Amino acid sequence: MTDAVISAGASGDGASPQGERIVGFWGRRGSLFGILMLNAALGMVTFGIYRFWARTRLRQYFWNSIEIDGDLLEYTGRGLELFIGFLIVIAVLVPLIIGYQFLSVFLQTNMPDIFVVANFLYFIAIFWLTRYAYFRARRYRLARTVWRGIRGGQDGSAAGYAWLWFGYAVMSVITLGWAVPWMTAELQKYEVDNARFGVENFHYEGTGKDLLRYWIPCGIAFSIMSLSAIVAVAVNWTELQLIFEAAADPAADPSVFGDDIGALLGGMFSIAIIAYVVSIPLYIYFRLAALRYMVNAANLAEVKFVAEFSAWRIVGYGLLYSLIVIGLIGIVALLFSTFSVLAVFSATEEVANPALAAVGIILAAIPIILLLFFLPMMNLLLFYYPSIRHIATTLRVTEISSLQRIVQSSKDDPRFGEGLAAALDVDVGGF
Amino acid sequence: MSAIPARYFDGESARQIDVFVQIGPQNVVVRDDADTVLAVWPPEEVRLLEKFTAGRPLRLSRGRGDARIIIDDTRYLGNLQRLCPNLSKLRPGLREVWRPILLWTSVAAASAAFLFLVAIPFAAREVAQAMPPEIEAQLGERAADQVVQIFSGGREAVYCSTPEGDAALQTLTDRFVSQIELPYPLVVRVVDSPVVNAFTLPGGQVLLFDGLLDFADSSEEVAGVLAHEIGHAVRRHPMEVFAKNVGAATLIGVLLGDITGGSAIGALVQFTITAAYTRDAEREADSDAVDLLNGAGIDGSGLTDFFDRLLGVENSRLRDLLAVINTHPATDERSEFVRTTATATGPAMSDAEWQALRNICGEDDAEEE
Repeated sequence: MTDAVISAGASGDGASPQGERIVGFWGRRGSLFGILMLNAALGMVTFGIYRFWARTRLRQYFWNSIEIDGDLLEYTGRGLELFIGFLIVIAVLVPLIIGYQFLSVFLQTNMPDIFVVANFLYFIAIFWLTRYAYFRARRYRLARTVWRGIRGGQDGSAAGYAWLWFGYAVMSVITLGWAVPWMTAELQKYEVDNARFGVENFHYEGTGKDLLRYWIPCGIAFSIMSLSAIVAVAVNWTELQLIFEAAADPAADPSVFGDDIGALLGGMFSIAIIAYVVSIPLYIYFRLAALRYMVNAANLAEVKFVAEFSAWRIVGYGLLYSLIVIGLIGIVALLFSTFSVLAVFSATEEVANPALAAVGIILAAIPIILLLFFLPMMNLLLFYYPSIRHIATTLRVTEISSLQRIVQSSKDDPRFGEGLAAALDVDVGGF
Repeated sequence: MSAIPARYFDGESARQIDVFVQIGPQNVVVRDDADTVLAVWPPEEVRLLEKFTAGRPLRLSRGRGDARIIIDDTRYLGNLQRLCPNLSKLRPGLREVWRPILLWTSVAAASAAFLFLVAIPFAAREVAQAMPPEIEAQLGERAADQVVQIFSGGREAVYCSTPEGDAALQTLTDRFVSQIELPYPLVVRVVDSPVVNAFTLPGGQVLLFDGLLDFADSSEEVAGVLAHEIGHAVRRHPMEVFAKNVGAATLIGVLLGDITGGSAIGALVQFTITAAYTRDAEREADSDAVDLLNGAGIDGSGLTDFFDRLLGVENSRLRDLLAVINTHPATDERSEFVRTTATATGPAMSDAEWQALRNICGEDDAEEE
């Protein structure tokens, strides 16, 4: 039995649905909503400083809602650790950013050529840092994840991970996106092979070739996007050059070229823009399929995981969430414009009704305030909650008893959390 | 006390051990099937890991330790609550929520106050003094166009210029500039705007608004204001304010999670206009202005007259245009200082020059009053 399971693990996705449904989901949307309300309220009165404790509270909720073989996952991190990690990074990052602001003013006026290069390098450095921060955040999160009293962990080097990412990112740009499956597999391998539970390392047995089939829809959209953009630029190269030259000439009247370039770019890039919009759900689908592939390609001791969640179902949650948010924004915009027109009208000299104007202003402000309050929690309630529930409840696990022999690692855990990730805002879901 | 059947994870391995737990007032004892004692926990250190939910097992830890006791039969919650005083203290109750908030908002407020009130102003002063003049001059040039655009309601920057008016302004400026050494050439321009204001941007860009020329009763008043603005330029105050704003905007951006600070930088130019100089900066500029006026032999009472008259304006429509009050708060102390130290009594320019300067944006404006 054990052998069969391991051999099935050799190719990530090919595993037949074996294993037991021993992962449960105990979360309730009501308690999540309660946490989110409290977090939002406390975030307001503390001008956002509470966000580290808010994030901790949310992680406790999600970790605690997942049960594996009768025992809950625990999140043992503390808001204070996140906050201190953030403060440490602020002390380093803020002087650097301020320094760069002055440097860029200096370069812009004195060496415009170098300014362009420096700006480019600055943004590359920021992207590199976000990957670095992401890996550091994994280290903290896994070290604070406990199951049956045993802590997880993430070894490996954050810089090594960021450079790996950088190399493949360059490759992906050169190949118009077709290196992405291999990039994904290599990064997953680095993450998984260096992850551990107690002293036991996870192992990853996956390849970019397997991921290619999930990439094809998005890859085609990407290729259409970049090729049409390149062709459009090439065909209109002389016009573009003229416009840029004119725009660079301070004596020229900029408004003339502003209209020209707007019309030209709009016409040129319409195909690219359509391809881009189409590629968004396709990309999310790829990320989800890759996540499922990673779970299937990973094993721990004799334990094999079989993920069977539907990526399209989660894309559906995403679309539903987007539609609801767009609808809400539309309603709020309508209410706001109606009441602000009322307010402006009552303030005119003909009506001159200050009481009515005040009511109008208040009625216009209320939907905006409510939207700002509730919008940040919508993605957790409408997207992350059902997605995590779906992923957890469809997961199968084999040979869980082999984890009995795993012992606690004596490796040092990070003392403070995720500073860089918090400063760079790496977590998309807000937890 | 009866023994409660439970599962035990020792925090060393993931192996599950079936145990019996005895909860007593002195200690909580964990024994395995063979009656071997595996752990003894003091009751005050026993914690419930999650808020109790009916039907869910009771999961216990010793403080923040790794070992876990899991009791499936929730009827024992009462026993635990009776004997373990700190049972619910690990997960954030209200106490754990407000304590860090209180502590860290005060720490954050203190550090933000330190950064904004001490660190950034100090750094800004240093940066302003160290900034190469050529860069500051180019920075000021770009800022001037943007600022003037804001005052002209988004239209292209409109500067007023007539040969006679320019000559009058240049002659007056030269009388001041010849006395001092500026790291960059001083550029004095008149902006076509009814706002009564004057300010100096980095790089010696002095902007006089047409509204101010209209409001002034004499050329000495304009000369006083100009001398004051040149005082700011000599001390590089505008660069200091600019540096302060870059620092503050960046800090706010990072604190609120906006790493590029792009949105904040956009608002910078606006800050630069409204940000008043510190009291010390105004005093320094006043003192320089008096020196310049004395050196040029121009009557210094124009400076005080101008500000005194500003304070006396009652017409509310005109008051709205008097932005200069906000940027240059007039105080008795400042008037007193100028009165006692300004010694010269000469005119700033001839009547013909004064008329030319007042009409630099066209004659209509001048006849409005």
